Amino acid sequence: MNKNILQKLKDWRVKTARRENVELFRVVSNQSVEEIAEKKPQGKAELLEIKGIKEKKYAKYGEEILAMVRGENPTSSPLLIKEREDKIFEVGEYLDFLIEKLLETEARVRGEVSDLKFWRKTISFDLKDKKDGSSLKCFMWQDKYEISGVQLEEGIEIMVWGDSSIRKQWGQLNFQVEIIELVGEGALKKAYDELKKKLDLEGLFLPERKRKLRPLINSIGIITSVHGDAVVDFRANVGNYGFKIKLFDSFVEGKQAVFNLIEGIEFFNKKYPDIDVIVITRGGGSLESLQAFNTEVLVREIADSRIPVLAGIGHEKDVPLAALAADLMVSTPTAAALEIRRSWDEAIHGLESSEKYILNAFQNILAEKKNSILESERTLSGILADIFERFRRARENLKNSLVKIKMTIDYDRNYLSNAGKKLSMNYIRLFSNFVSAMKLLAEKITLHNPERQLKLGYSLVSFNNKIIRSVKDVQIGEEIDIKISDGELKSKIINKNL
Amino acid sequence: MTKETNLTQSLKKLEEIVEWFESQKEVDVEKGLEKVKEGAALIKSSKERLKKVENEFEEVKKELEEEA
Repeated sequence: MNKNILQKLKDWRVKTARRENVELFRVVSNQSVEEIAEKKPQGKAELLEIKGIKEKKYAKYGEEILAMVRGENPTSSPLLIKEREDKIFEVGEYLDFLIEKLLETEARVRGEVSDLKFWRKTISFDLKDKKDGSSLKCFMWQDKYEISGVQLEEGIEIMVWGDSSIRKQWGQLNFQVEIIELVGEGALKKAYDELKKKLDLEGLFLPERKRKLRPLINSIGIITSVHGDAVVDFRANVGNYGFKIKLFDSFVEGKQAVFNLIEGIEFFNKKYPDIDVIVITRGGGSLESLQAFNTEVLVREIADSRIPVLAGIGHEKDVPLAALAADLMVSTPTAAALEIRRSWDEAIHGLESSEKYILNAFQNILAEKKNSILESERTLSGILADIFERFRRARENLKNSLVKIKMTIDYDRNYLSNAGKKLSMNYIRLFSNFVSAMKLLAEKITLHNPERQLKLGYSLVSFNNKIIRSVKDVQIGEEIDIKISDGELKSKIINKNL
Repeated sequence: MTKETNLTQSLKKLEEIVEWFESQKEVDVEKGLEKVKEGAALIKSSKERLKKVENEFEEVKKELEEEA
């Protein structure tokens, strides 16, 4: 691909787009531009083979494009003064020449609003200079007006950013306003407070709206200036964890940055819907330089982003509303980087501690098992020692017992043999005592035997086997028994005498 | 994506192993050894993923014509 031709084509496309007040792709698409630079068409037929170049486009730009491919400057390039003096312009041609000249008129202009008119898709007003009364006709698209988020009123002082152009149909110079800014910290602060209150009431900043960043983020879409410190700080601090970082280059300073910022959010949501996080970041700044981050449209864009948004926007007193609407906010690009790497750092830390823990735990288990084995061994040998000890004691006891038994037996034997002697001696004594006692008793019995009395002539008189001791024991006529030494007599009571 | 999912899962499994060790009163050495082996494999693969890998950095541009 011819880089020189490509650049030339691109520059020409920018100028043409501005002149015609259309977007770049309306002139020629990016793809067509690249294809032209690649194939370098030499004539009409070849150029028409390029995708996106049809008869209509060819009629409009064909000659210019072919000239650029040949290495010539496009015809709309400034004419030399000499050439211009000789040339007679057609009206349209002259206006094109003027429009070309006006391409360099991009500026910020301050003034007071008057003759304000709202049309269907556009807004027009005059911007007046209070000092000398001069006036600039301004024109603005409705969508840009909405992005600006400034409510225009007659008489208020504003700042507009844009450039001048001429609408060829009317031949009138217009300042085409891209964005409106408020003038002065006071007005900015007031607008900030009002918008904050409004969005707060809507619940746009509520904690329950916030999504957590996923752990172990892999892909990052970062929106910041490619030339700023923010991207340097971010990259320096995010760590090398194989992040896939896509940078969307955006202005971050001043209110006009709002277009880029919105574009960036939309771009990632549309083109890379799978990225893990959008980081919107810049270094600190005043309320004025952070105006873009306090515009309603951007704040809503962030709140509505399907991809979680991490805001790392430096600020002074007032937190940018864009940051308040983000899922997570920190106040520097470095802090944003640290938020992203945190889960990775934690993973490494967790991995290391898990590793240590598991190995320690297992070593402890082994040590514990070893201890318990030693313990068992000790217990076992203790038990054995105990058994031996008891056995020894039992044997000892047995031995002692045997001795005791022997002694007892000996004792008993002695006792028995002695006892026999003692017994017979005692017996003999007892027996002789008994014999003499018996003799005495026999004598006594003989002495007191009634039979003996009978022999001596006494008799025993009984009635009904009872000895009669009194005359009252019997009645006259009753029969009584009389026992005498050689027999018995029966007798009858005839008389009783007292 | 899958690599990261695996890493997340590995870290989760490791945590479970740690918890397993924490919760065991009487650890079976055989089972413990199994868990250690499993843990070692997870640690190895996770370390592989967690070692320094250069970031990919790319500037992206909005392709205007795609909206046409």
